[in-house]
Amino acid sequence: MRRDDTEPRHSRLGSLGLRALVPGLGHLALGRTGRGIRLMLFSAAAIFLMVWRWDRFADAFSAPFLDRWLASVFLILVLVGAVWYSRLDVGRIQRARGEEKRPGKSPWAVAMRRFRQNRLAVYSIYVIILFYALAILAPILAPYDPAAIPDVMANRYLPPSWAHPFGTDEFGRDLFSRALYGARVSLSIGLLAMIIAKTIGTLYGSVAAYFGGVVDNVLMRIVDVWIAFPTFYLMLMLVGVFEANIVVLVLILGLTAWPGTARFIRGEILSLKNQAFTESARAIGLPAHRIIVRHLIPSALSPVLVTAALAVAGMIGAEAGLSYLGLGIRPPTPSWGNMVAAGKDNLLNAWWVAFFPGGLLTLTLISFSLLADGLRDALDPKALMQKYV
Amino acid sequence: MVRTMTSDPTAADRSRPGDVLLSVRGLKTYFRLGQGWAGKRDVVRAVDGVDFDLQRGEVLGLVGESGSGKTTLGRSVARLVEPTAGDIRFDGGDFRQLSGKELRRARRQLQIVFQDPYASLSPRMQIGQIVAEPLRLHRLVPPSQTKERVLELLGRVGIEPYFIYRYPHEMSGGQRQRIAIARALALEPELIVADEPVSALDVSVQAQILKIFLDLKRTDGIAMLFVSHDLGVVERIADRISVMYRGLFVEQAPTDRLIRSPLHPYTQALLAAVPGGSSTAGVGGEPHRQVRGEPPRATEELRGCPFESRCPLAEQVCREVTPALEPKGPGHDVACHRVG
Amino acid sequence: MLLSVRDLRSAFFLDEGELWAVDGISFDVDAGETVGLVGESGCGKTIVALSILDLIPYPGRVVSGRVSFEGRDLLDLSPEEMRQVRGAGIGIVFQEAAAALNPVYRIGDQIADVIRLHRGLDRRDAKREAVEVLGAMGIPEPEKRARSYPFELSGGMKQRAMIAIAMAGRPKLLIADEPTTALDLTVQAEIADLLRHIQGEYGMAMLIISHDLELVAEMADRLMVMYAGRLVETARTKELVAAPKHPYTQGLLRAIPVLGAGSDTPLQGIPGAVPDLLELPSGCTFHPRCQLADDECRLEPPSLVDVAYRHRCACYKVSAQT
Repeated sequence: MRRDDTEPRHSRLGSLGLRALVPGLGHLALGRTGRGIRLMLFSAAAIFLMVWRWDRFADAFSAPFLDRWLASVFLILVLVGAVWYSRLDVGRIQRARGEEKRPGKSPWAVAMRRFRQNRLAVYSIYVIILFYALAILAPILAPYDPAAIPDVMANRYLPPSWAHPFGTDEFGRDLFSRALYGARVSLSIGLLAMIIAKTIGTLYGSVAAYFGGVVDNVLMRIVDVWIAFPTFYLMLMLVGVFEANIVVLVLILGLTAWPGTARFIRGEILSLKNQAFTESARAIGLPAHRIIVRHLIPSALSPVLVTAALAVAGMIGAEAGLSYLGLGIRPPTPSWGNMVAAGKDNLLNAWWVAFFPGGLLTLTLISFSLLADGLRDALDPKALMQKYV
Repeated sequence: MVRTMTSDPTAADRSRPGDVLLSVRGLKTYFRLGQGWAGKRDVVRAVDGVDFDLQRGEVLGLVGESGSGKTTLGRSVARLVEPTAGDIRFDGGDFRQLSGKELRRARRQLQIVFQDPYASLSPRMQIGQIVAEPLRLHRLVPPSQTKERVLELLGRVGIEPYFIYRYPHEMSGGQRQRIAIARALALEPELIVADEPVSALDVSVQAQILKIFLDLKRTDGIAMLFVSHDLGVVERIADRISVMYRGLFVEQAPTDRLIRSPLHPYTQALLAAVPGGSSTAGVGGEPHRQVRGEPPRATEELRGCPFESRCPLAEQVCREVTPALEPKGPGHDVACHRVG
Repeated sequence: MLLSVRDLRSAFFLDEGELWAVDGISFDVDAGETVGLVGESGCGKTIVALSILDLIPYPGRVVSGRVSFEGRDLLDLSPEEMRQVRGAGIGIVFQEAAAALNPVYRIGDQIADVIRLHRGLDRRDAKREAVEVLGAMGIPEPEKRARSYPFELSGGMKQRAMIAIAMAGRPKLLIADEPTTALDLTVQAEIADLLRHIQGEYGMAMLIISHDLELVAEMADRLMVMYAGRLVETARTKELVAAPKHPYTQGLLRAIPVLGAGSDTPLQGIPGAVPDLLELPSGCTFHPRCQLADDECRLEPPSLVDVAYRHRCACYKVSAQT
């Protein structure tokens, strides 16, 4: 704990009221410069966007388009969140300086500290946050309508320039705008499918492991059968039957991936089940569902988090693959996968058509892998339990 | 049976002499080894037919080496492992017949403290939550008084109030064991099964924890099944000691008697093996014999005396007939053909 | 003097900070002598053994000090020379025999390997010698046992096999780190007997490291008590047990539930807990748990000084008395 910088700097940095309103100011006053500046930057960026694109921002609340509405609400949430978090965190830091009687550091907090020491993982999480923010803000940020086809002959295959940072495609559409909108499809499918897969898998696997015996046998045989289907062909088949849109893709990707998680969680819970804290929970008379939800799953969650980060990357990759093959999201709706596909025939003449969406895709996948690595190191349960000597 | 109780009125009140709290008859717990749908599997007879009674407020020490079944016996009594056969009567009721809600309610009376304090506390809960959980579950105090009660319980085991917001990984082994005891105490149990509660602790800390258990016995009159491999520890707290070997009781006697004049050759060997044993254990009589080798694996059905393979006194009869526990003195039961 | 350790300091360099597991320890072991090193978990006693053999795992290392064995400075040796010393000069027995034995090789082969390495016998002779060593360690039917895999042996047998491996190189010093801790009481007694027996037989020196003061007191000529990385008291066994000087040693002895003391004897622990080596108290590291502690104890750590004949103690309060 840093104790070098405490009270005296208060007076110089604004009154108490100002510090409560301006996010990050309290941190600066306490000497937590890095976090303070970051909080200020975030809020400044949000305000800047609101002002810069005021018409679009305000428009969202009158027009019934969900995507625009989301973007505007997100901006407001960033601002409110920054103020709120800033106050909370400042309070926490002040309390933590109360020496001996400090509140405990949860295993999560310990893991967070270890995570922050891993530069690469921290950068990767910045990249991921940036990409998700860009995706959500696409309606506010995009310079052009991603589907609008202007004068095709004049705008066709324009190389990257100030007017079109990523160039234009064969119909003269602005690729930067399309990449922003494409990010929404690719990134949201990955995240939502992962959440579905991990939720079902975690519950299913922990029930199987906790009850054991016949329940376990039946549940796990179902998983075996499920896993035995070659997933990719199953996806191809399902995509052939249903019309591919975001919802269908999320469901297909999520529902084909959960058995792996179920198996994994089952193994984790099996070992936790024999630990004394589970028995102690039984001994005080805690019913099974509360033992699973309150004691077992929280303890098994850290390895799931690691696989979740990898799973998002896998899902994004799978969606891109399907879209590339023309089985996922169909043009004109952009997705990184179908954008790469559209550019693949013209790599020599118009490299930028495939290069930018492909590059973004690669950067995203690498970031998630690095994030998973960082999480694995930070969440290593042995690091908590074990001591040297 | 004569037993000296403390003069504390509340303790005496709760422990009317002769009032049986726990009665175990013919308890067997077998484990199947390995997994599979069909086919023959090895069976480990961890507890192979054990009878005993425990009075209110009494502490029974359960002594044996690893694999003797003492831990399994403790867990079977608490029904954390399902016994294979036998009766457990607890507080007048048939404890083995209970299930579901009834079992969960009955468990209030019978708590367990585990050996490894590093594994027995849920790692992602704060200390306050850990101790409050049983109170909330059984609605023992109104929600507004939960915190007060938690602090009171922590105070009893010597944990400072500000620790309630800490997490187990921030605590030492001794502190964690205190918290485990506070959690068990929250339910105001009649019986605590203490499964090697001080074995994982440093010697200097061991004594502190043992003192808490002694206090629970003396002031609260809580009965205990105190499982330990350390005779010196058991001697401090137990009224009676049962010696377990390969799933069976081989000797049972009031503490002083068992330590000063053990009759079973195994008990004698155990006492002789205690470091410094030659000077202390032989106090009552002739020097005890040492034994060689290690206990047999309990995978086969027992024929003859379980100790026969290591016993210096073994005879033909020991190989054929399993000896039963028979009274050989006041409150002193021994299962041995060779003890006259 | 066989082994001489001077001002040994070993640390682990962790994200959380520097952890000084051994913080300035000096002691000697004479040929043929048995010395016990006693301390509670986390006091650094195992790291002393690992420092001597240069086996500290990353991120730890010996930072300073001198370890000389038969006049050679072990910390200056090349890895190749160090390998020669391990086994042939100094043998070591670990607590977890089950983990120290390789599960996929036969016991006899594992011992024969060591013999070939250190004594240069050929394969056949080494195997014959291995069986002999196993027999000498009190293992019945040594020929049959030499062909067994570790999982086929009981805990006590595994520990005997471990000792056989340590003894195979005919070391002049045997370091036994918690040699009986994982074992049952009756088996513990047997292993202790075995160690005493082979020490007499081979005339080597022994350094026994354990948390169990009673056990070590039965085997060792001299005892050293370690607390939080430092030695706090050293004396001949009888004297240390009968007249301990350091408050920690006194507390430790009072805390042991001696069998046969009767239930009336009050048991006294030491208040508080063993300190975390990452957050060591200032001055004498025992002062927060010590009833005699005053301001003096909080400032500077006391050093070991003579308080009686061959009896050294690191405590301001004790040296003040004498």
